[in-house]
Amino acid sequence: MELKIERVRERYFKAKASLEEGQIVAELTGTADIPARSALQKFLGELGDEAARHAVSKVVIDLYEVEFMNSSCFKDFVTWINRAQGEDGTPNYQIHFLSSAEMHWQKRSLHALQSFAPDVVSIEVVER
Amino acid sequence: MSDSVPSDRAEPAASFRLHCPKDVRVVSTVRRFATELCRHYLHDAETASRVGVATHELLENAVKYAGADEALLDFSVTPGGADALVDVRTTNRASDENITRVERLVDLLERAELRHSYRSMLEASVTEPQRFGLGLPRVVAEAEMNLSCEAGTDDIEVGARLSGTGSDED
Repeated sequence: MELKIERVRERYFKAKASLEEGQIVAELTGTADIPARSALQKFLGELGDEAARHAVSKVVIDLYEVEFMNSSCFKDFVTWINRAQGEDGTPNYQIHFLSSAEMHWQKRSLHALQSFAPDVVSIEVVER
Repeated sequence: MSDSVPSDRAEPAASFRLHCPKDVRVVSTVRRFATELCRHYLHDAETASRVGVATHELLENAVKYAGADEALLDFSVTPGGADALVDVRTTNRASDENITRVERLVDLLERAELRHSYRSMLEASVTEPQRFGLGLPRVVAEAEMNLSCEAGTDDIEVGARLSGTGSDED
């Protein structure tokens, strides 16, 4: 089945998602700041909807090539993760972040997201 | 209120003042420059990244709330290992309501016990999204910089200060 998630092609921010072996893999690149925010909000909304529709157990968010994320976009991730936690405390799906050790902001921000939802969020530092 | 710099403190190795137009797209350009400047003088990519986060969040707020006016950014970096100092200050025209809101938030964030309550702020940003932004909390919790603010009659100066680096090589 096809994912109903529109690809983001902003000038400095891009995002796309695919369904791979029972999980959704979303790949983000560029700078997530004010000019990218409305596109990111829409993308995350569709990502959540599609994760529910396909009943996936995991959503992988690849941030390896995200140079920076401002607090507004970070807040959108907090809201999205909160939604994934489920109303009865049982996570709807796991969220696995792929990060780069070279993007130093990711370590601190992703640690904060994991502290916010430790049962939902996991982090993997990858080398490419 | 802003902290005073000790008189025996070394002069900054580099500083700049930017008159920033009402164009949020400029903010990322400035963040990259500030980050690279710190990396050059402090030889510490992690510290430079923290300064970049603070510069971005402060300048973005200043541009956003300055109305039709420009925002000012004053930036300085002083190397010195454990005595290193980075100052990021923004000034923008602001309404009484905005000034009061920022003063309260800075006061709240600078209370020591709240430095460890970032998670509760993230939760508040979900339950009260219109009330809680994460820009200034992020400067304290993630960039680990001290915040200050000083209100004028119709403007506000917000500062973030980083003291010391993880590198002895600068």
